[in-house]
Parts: sequence; structure tokens; C-alpha cells
Amino acid sequence: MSSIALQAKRAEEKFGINMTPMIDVTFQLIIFFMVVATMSRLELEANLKLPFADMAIIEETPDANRLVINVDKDEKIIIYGKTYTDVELENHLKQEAARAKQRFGDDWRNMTPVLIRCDQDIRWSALRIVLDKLNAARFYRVQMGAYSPESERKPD
Amino acid sequence: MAMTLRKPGSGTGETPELNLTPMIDVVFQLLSFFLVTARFLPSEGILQTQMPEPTKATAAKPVENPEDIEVQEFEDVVVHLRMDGDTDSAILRIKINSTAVDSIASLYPRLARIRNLFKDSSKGPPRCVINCADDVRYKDLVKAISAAQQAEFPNISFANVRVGSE
Repeated sequence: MSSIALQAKRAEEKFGINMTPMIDVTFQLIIFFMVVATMSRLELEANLKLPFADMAIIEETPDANRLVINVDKDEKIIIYGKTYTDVELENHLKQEAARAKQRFGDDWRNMTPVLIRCDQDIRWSALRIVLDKLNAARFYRVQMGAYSPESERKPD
Repeated sequence: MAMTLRKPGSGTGETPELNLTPMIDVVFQLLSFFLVTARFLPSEGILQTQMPEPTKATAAKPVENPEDIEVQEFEDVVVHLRMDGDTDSAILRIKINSTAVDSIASLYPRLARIRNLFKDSSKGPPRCVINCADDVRYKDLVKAISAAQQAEFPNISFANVRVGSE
């Protein structure tokens, strides 16, 4: 190889772009999106259209002990992606209550809120079934899920 | 974005390097896919309510006609919600105790006025109990809870829910 060609090759190598940090960042972003998508699907049933409520408070850090119950537009009760019948829900809530009692003692009712996320068009009769079961298991703090108008105005 | 990192030249002493171009292409495709398919929902909030206590006298069985409930029985402010008319064109009827309210929008000022009456009460503010008929929609219930919360009722609960036992 002549000395001129060698110099040209060295110059090219000197100005080459290091792609490693870009690939690192891109993979981090992909992993982030995949994890967030999976996590939110697990707990919060996505196929719900919540109503808007002026006083809905956005919680920065939701209670870690919180139970989430979803009621979709067909009035099906869904917890962590699994559909429950009335009887199954009652048993599940009683188990959760026993677990919470074991963990928190007498204060378990204050320590274990329940978030109910319902489609905006479901009827009270469907929601009442869930509330009846919660009451039977002696849960006390109930949170109703609603979109906060701070983030977006109501379409209708 | 076809960009090659392969070093030119094929002489002796050259170390073989991986061609990263296809991988970067795929990675960017994946990233674009996730960005495009991501659903950006409005922020979710909560409305705090409480379940009826066993000691409180709430209706144990479903109530067909909310007006039948004795208000004195509760010692609470009771918001009655029921639907009037056919399923498709049903109109929401609202009452606070036995007084009719024109619309869900006027619920907050009426509740705020009632709440003000109890400002200096030694017993403290009453509970606000929402009493829904079976066909009332969740969106209307949420508006009623929101109005009660805005009127600063500290305890919002439900009528005609079966009261649990200790």
C-alpha cells in the first residue's frame, strides 16, 4: 500500500462515527415502551372509556396496596386481565381481605383502598354487584376511576 | 439510513467488524412502531368514597323507587338519581332529599348551600349518600360524586348497597 493511500485510510478511521451510545439509547427506549405497555395492560384494563369528573384527583404515587377492579362496557368484571363471575369476585375479595388483615392488622381497611374503573355507560346495577361484594368482604375505602379534565376536555 | 461501519480495505492485519446497519434499521423500525401505536390517554384520577358502615341504617335491599327511602332514617344528605323515560331517550332526574334539582350542573351549588348550613354544627357535616336507580349510568353517578366532593362533603357513600357484617 502506498503512503498516500495509507494516510487516506487513517483519516477516514479518525472521523468515523461511534454508533454505540445511540444503539444503547435506542434499546433503552424500546425496553421502556415494552415494559410500560405490559405493566399498564396487566393492571388497568385498556378497553374502557372512563367518564370525566371535575374533581378527579390525579395521584402521583398510587397506593401500593390498592386493588383494582375493572368493569368493562359489557359489564364484565375484570381483575388483572381475568374475568370474574359474581361468586368468584366475592371469594377473591375475601381472600384479599384476609391477606390484608394478616399484613396490616386491625387497620387493614384504611390501608387497602380499592379502585373501581368502570366504563362510562355501565349501569348502577352492575356497579352495585361489585360494591355489594366489597362490602361483604368489609372493604371500606373505595376510589372511583375517572379522567381528570386537567389533561383533556370532555368531547361531548 | 444505510450507514456502514465496515472499515475499507482487505489487506492483512485488518480485523473483521460487525456491520451494524441492518440492526439499527430494525431497531428504528421497532421504535417507530411503538411510538405510533402508543395510545395517549388523558390522565386518570380518582374520586374518594366510603362504603356504608354496618351501624348506619342504609337500605339493605335494592330500592325500586328511590323516593320511598326515609331521609330521616339516614340523617344524611341523600342525592337521588333515577332515569325517566325510555332507555334511548331517558332523562336523568335528580333530587336532594325530597327536593328536585333541574340538572346535574345545579347539583354542586345546591349541595354547597346545604353543606354551609352544617358549617357550625357540633355534630359535624353530614354524610352525602348517593342513591341510584338500577338504570343510572356510571358517568352520571361520577358527576354526582364529583359535585358532592366539590361541595366539601367529607364522607360520600352509597345507599342500597348490601351492608357487610363483621
